[in-house]
Amino acid sequence: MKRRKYLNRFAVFFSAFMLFFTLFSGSIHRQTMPEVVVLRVREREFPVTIDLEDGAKFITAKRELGVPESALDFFGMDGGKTARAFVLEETEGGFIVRERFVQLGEKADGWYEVEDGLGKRDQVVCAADRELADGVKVRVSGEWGHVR
Amino acid sequence: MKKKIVGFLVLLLAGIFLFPALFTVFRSFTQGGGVFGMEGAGGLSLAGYYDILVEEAWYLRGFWNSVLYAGVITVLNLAVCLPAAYAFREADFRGKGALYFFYIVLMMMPLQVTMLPNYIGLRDMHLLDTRPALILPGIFTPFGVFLMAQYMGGLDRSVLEAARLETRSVFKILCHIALPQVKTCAAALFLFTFAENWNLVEQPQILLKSEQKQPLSVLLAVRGGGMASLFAGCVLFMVPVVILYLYFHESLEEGLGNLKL
Repeated sequence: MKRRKYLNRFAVFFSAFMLFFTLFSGSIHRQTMPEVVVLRVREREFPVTIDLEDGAKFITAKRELGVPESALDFFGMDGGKTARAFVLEETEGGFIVRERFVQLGEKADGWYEVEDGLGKRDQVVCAADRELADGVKVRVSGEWGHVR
Repeated sequence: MKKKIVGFLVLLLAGIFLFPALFTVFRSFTQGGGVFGMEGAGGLSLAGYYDILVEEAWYLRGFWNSVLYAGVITVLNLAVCLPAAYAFREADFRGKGALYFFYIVLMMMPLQVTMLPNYIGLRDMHLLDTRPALILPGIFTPFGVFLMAQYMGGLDRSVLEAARLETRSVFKILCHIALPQVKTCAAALFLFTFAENWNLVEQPQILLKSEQKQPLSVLLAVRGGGMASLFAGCVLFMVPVVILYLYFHESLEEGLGNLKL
């Protein structure tokens, strides 16, 4: 009987201990909002290959909007020509991310040509400390540092 | 002399079995290098506990996920197993024997065999990567029904017959007559089910994608971090199951002791 009493006390103490740290340690509150690194979509040079009549190839370049590979999620998409990306949106309550489906063109140096789905002023999420979803509030920790 | 040798061997075996748990507790308080964490700078420290309780959010989130999964599955599992077992014992319907046999066959199946149909079913219901994906398959387990049905073989028939003269409600008979007679076995089943679902690893890794929903049993394995915080996490992870075992161990021994297989 006495042992049961001590056990009850210990169970209550342990539950209170875990609840206390959950509510007041701040670790969960700090990480409630995902932290993201963003990059503004910009123009890049992508190769264009022109087949000549005599079988030779002429390679030139075109300037198109580009998005880095790290901003794209190909999971569940068909053939690598469509990908999911998250675009930063500023609201009155702070920043949120919006899911966009992007049509892709050529690939060069880890960048994909944007055919549709992103505009010139869009900022895409290149890295996040956890999985994102449409409409989630985020904290922007900085601009992507390895822009080439 | 023989008694002393047996006593020594029993103590030795107990020591071997206890060593990993004691080592985990000791290692959670040390932060240095080496096997025991006592080499170099560091020594005894509470840094491991500080890291997981104050600095890192994943631990507490995983802990409460585990509490949610194990708690909900255990309660709902009992709510399903008790009436199902009572039906197998008391109700008379066509195909009862075959259905019970099927239950026992299903119980013998390894987890990997039932995982694929579970996955396909949950995918078609669009429940993958949701909490119900982990909870629903856990509720309907044949082991609990089998265990309770076997134990209900020892129910006092005369009391049940008398109850049937008093009321036609099967639910009332189950709650007021059968349940008090099988509560030790129900407590044992509670402990088994909770411990099993507290330690889920394969199911969440296959059915859940997002880390936010993963239980602690998975996060402890996949998240990196220092040795001290890992061992501290293991210590706190052991506590709920140990508390429940200390609560229910008498029921466990009594419940399984009276089981008629």
